[in-house]
Amino acid sequence: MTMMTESYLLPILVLLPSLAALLLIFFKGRGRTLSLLAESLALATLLCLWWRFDHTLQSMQFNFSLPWIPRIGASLSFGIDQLSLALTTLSTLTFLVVDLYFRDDYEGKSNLYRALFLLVQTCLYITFLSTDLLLFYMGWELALVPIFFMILIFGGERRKLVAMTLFFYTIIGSLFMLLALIALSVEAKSTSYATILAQSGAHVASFGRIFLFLAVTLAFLIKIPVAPFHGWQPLVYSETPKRGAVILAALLSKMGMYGLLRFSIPLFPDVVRDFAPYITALAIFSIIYGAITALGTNNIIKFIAYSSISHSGAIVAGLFSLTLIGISGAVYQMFNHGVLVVGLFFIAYHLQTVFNSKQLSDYQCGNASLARYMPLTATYLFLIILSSIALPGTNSFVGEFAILLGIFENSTTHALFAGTTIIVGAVYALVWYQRLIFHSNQSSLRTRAGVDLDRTQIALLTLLVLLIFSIGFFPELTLYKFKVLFFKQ
Amino acid sequence: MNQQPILSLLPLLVLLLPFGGFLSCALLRPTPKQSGVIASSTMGLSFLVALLLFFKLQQLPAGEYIATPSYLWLALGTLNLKISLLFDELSSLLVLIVTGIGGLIHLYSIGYMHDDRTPARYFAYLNLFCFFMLALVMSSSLPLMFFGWEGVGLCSYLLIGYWYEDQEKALAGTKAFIMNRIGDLGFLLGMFFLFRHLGTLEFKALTQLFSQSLALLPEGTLTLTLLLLFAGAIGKSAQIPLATWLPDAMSGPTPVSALIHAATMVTAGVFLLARLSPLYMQSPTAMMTIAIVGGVTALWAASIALAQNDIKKVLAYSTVSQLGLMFVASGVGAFNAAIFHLTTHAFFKALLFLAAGSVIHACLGEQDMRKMGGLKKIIPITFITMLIGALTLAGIPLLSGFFSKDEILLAAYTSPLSSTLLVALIILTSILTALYSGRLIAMAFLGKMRLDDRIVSKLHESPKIMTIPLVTLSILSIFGGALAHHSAPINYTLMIVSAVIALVGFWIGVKVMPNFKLPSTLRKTLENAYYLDRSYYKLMVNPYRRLSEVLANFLDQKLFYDFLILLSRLIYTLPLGSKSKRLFASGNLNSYLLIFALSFLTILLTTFFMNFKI
Repeated sequence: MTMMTESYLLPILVLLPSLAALLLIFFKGRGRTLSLLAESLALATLLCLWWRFDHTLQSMQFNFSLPWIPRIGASLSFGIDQLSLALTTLSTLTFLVVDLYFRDDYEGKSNLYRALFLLVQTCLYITFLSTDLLLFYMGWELALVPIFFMILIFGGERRKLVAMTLFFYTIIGSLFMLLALIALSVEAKSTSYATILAQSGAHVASFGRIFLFLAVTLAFLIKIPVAPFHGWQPLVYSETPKRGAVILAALLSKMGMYGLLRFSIPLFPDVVRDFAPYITALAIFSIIYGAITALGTNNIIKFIAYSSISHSGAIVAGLFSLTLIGISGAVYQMFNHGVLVVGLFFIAYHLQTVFNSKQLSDYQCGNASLARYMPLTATYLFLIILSSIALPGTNSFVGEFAILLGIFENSTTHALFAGTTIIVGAVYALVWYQRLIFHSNQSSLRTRAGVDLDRTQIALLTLLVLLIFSIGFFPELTLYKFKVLFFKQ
Repeated sequence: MNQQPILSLLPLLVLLLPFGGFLSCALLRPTPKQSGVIASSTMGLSFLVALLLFFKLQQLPAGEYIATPSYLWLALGTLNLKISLLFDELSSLLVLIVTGIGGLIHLYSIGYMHDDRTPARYFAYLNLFCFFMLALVMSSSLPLMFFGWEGVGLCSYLLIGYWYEDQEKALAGTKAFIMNRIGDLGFLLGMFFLFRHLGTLEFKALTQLFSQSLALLPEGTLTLTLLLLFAGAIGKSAQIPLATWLPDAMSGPTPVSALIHAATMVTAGVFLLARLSPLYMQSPTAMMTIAIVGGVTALWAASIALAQNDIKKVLAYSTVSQLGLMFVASGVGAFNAAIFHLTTHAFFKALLFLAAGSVIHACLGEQDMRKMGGLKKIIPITFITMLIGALTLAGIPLLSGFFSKDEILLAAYTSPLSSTLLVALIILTSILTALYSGRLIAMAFLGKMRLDDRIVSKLHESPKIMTIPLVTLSILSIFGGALAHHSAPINYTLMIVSAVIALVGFWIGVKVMPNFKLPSTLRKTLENAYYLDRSYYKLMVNPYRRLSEVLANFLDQKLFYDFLILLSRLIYTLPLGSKSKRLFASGNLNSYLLIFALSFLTILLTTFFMNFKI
């Protein structure tokens, strides 16, 4: 493979899903074949990227650039480094696995739904791969549009309200971010990320920089979300159609983390140092708040939402430890959390399909526990829960260990509080598991038999579980291409 | 440390055999019989390899050890975590205990779990436990030890809640895991401190650092670090204040209690201190704290054991108490005595639990000693073996427990780190131990038969597969004292004192205790374990639960959810919204597509427009 062809890999990856989406809109039927074809081609492209990616360099690779709007210095330019590779890999895998798992859901029969799904993929790739601020912003904003329509057309009962909520919440953050990005571009007379990075911290008065920093960071924190900016999330997760919710939790939340590491931290090095302790404190609050609330909720999707808030808090805290160990741990954990949350959603939606409810109290088979009636579901959920509680040997332990160590290098107190994640995280996960799987209601009138996982589901969940444990046991062999090599502050 | 490549890989084989057993039990769907055979034979093989290694180790010069090649687990920045397995003097002993006693308990389980619904699951968990425990004791560094440490916690969780459909049993498992996690936070932070100040987490490197120079890090930091690590030990070894999970853990199958909650896992805390003994020796404050926590726990638990009526609960509190004694020994610097007592305790407490299991098995699940009595003649092998176990526990002269307990007493008496308080705590604990051991034997086996006729008609001695491990462990309990290597001169006065305490105490325990009426307040306090558990529920668990409900159902519901809905409803009814409302509600696919395309375009144009204006 020559340098020339290599540089086309990223645009190909970006365009693949949207081309498939276009075809889906204009052709009737064959939705499943087409979208699977697109996903597989994306996977093949990703494998090429993996193969050729030089992990000993920490710089943008596979650079591609086309002039776009010369007047403002904007170009259609893409590049990939360790962080982008981690999230691109996660995106590609997630979309493929999700498409395979929900193969005969009712919405999936609609080509429009599949097209929207694929459009999100393109937008995510744009976000993670663009090296131009304008392009990044486009990806960031456009990703919401298909999700918005997914909710509006295919969502649950309160879909209109939910779509509005999502829209207004994120638009607030995005507007601030847009202002900040414009200011940065004006200052650098270019929208190129490299140019802006090179000039970061140069000219603007400190007050302005603080404002800009807060503006972009707020947008990212809302997107992740970090408590108390999470108001939209449990609601939206539980009303979004299946695929959309998985994508929101596994990938759109990572957009915010990506933004923090790509923009907030390197572009405002001086401001970050002052604000890091406060943001870390917020992140730690998020860890504990999410964990406690997850214990109290009775809705399985909201449970996943709150647990995500808790896990994301740890990642944000790792990023703002501003240490190499903490940041690389956070990048690992972005990937790991994606795998974990996809697994959780798979089990949750299986239960929802079987029992036609999201409420914990409805999950009963006859008068015995789910563990007896649906042993495979119980087993796979347990293996995924192990990752949720970051047991050593699972992928999450690798990430959380590094994150906590990074936080500790910076502040012992922060590490003590962030470390409570291993306690409160175990509490909600294990108590919920017991309520869900071990609970048996002797007086139950339901006699409905549990439907355990079918073959496809088993295969996909096995894949996730293998990923969880192979990363946990062999992090160096599996994650080395995502390893952040240096971080200077 | 060694030149033979095959020899250096053998520890890996010891570790992987039980893991192979786990995988085959979990994935190959063996029949009940096959699963028992697979699990036991992998443990047996593992034991044989460990024996081979043990003899090889004896041939090496003193101080040399066998280690597997190291493997780079994780490298990030300055963090460079290499792991390997270590087979040295300390770990060799623990490996033999885990594989040997573990193997016997696997055998016994074949009989005990005879009627169980899912024996393959049971044996898979048991093998997995041995895998993690072996990783724990053979680890070359703290992170690998933490892997084993949390892994055994997981298996403990799984096996305590093995009969998960009983909500209390499942809850006991969860409770054990969570309380252990509290300690584990200390372990983790302690590890971080060591890494920050010394840059390494490998035991041999740490030992070397501390043998070369003394003031590697400020005394205060060192003490804090060591106490944090000790917090991990407190959790795992069920010491005050994290002791309350172990009595609940008795809801697991009895062989599990023998293996995990008596012989191996709960001693991991003592092992951790022994591994890091060169560090602990540098901090008198940390040592004193350990000794006092151990001593207080020992007396606390022994007094509770005196008032329990559930045969397994007596043994559970006894275990907590004996672990306390091991911590006293560690705290006064007698790490050898602690490990020696760990070994003999593994023999006689595993024996006691297995014998208790045999009693429970015979009595069709009955565990209340008040309902037993007179079993002596009906299940003689169980009686004799249990008597041997109880006598050893009581510290009757010439049995193994006597020697190990005597070494602890001697160390507490002579060590410069010790105090009169500690000696008093040990002696009081010994008295109580002898009393409750005698009481246990008398209530369960002597006197009148108090069992239901329904059970009496079915009373039977356990099958051979259960009695063989009992007999083997009895022999070990009797002669295990020979393993001692006396470092200090024998103090005959102390020996005579403890012998008298044991003999008289046991005799009173048999003759007086079963019918002795404690004052009712005291009895209630003891039966409820000084209300420690209950106060945790009142002060921590229930408020936490209530808070979670308030947050989930009120705060997040009202503040975010309802407020948001109100807000979006407001916006929705604005004039601008009403047009789109009709659009949204039309259900016409074309109009949706139109909106879709329009918004795509709008956002695109907005971005361009805004940038062009600059």
